[in-house]
Amino acid sequence: MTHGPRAQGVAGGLAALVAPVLVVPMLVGAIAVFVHVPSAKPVGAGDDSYAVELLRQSAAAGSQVSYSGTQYVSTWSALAKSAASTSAIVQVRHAAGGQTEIALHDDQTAILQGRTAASWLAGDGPVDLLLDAYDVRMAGSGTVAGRPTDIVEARRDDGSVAVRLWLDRETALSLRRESFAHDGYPLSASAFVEVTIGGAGACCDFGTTDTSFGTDRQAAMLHWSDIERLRDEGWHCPETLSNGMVLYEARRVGEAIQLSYSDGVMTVSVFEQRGRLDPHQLEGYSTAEVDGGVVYTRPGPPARLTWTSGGHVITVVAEAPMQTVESLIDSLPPEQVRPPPKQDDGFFARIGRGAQRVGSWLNPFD
Amino acid sequence: MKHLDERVSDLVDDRLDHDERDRALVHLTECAQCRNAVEDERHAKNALRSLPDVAPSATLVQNLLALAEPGDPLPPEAPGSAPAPVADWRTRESHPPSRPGGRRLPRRVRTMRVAAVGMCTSGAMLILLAALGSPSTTSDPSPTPAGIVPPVEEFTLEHARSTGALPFVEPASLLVRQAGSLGGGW
Repeated sequence: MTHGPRAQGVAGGLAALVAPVLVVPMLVGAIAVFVHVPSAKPVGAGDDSYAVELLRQSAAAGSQVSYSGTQYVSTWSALAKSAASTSAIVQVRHAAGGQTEIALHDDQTAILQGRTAASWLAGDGPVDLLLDAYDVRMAGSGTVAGRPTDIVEARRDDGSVAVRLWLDRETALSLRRESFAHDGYPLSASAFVEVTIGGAGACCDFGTTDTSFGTDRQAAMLHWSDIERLRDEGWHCPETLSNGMVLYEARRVGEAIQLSYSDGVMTVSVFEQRGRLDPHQLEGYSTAEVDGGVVYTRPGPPARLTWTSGGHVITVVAEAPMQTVESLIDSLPPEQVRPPPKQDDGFFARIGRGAQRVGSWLNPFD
Repeated sequence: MKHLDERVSDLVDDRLDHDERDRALVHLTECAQCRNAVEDERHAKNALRSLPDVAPSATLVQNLLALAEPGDPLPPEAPGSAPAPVADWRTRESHPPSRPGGRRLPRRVRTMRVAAVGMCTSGAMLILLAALGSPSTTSDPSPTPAGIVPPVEEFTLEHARSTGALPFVEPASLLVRQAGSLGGGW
């Protein structure tokens, strides 16, 4: 069977149609292969892509899902590292895309605002903070408050687990959480014992609402231009701390500047105030000598430390391993405690000082 | 021997002791200058002695007595008025003696006394200055500028609030703070 010119013409027409359909995707594929276009946040070499996707869904779940329930929370002191924990049962209510209310003992309620683009300083979102600092991977499945969950772990470079999250399989909400220091010492743990997904109804008596929150807090937020100006005026305002802790929010609190750092899991707040610490009015603090200076500490939880550095009082509230706080102290060393100058107690030296003193009395310009 | 100088008066007033008087008289035999000075002193003394006594007027006496009485203020002093003589001229013999026997101390003793008083005064001054300059009184009068007491509880609450922007963080510090403020146990 031979093909006539018509057949050849049909074949040529098919080739003309098929070729662009095949070539264009191949060219696009080639561009994608040889010209690397970075994604918003590449998945790290050690990251499990499914775990990364679950974390992103979980971070976005708060804007789409309302929920309420009862949760237990336990914390340990990273400073004292005692086996004793501090625990509470709290009522939680969250409105999709809105704020979270947390009530303790059905008496007093605190309101936590979600992230706003205007106040976020870290560039990438909170999930990216976590992905930058840790390797994430799936770690099995489990059940929390009767709901099936997937477990995601974030590990440090040394392989230690920093946080373990139980993410609701249906909504990706984080229903249980445990965090650890480098040596496996627990820092905090929380889990819902009862949770209702959907309209944040009146599950709980939230008592008195803390209304000192909202507009004023937003108005006090600082931007990078403000921080640059503060640095010019002598404030420290470090941009990062060790172990991947990044400045994500800054604001004024009265005469102080609050600088909030996180790696997506751990948090440290650094408060700066002009002046020098008055240690005589600190109650319940222990002292630690660091390079000739003194740091005043309360083990917590949370760990709280305060000291004077560079003409500013530094106060740290930390829910993070102590290595992070120690490196902060290294970068903002406490002022050395200088002993009173030793005076020459000789007779003639005393006469000289006495004459100077009398002279100061008689000097009308002194 | 040096000139008699002020001892001329002592010689004329016969206030030198025996030995000094002898030495002064020997000096007068040799020194015409001092001899003239002694003569002038004696002439002046005799001239003063020859003056009659001046009796104060009755008015003056009454005015003086009135000043001693209580009640009236002192009369204003007339401008340009010279002080009136109130007493007779008295010779040096009438001065109270500076020491028993009326003998004036020798110059060396007086010089030593002046030096001793000066040394005591200087020593007292030095001791006073040393006391003022003791370490306890010269400590730094300007202590550390107004000390800061950070409101740690408020800072802890603010720390907890700042974690609201983070989806995988528990605001545990907020709960601890509330537990403390409520007095409830965990």
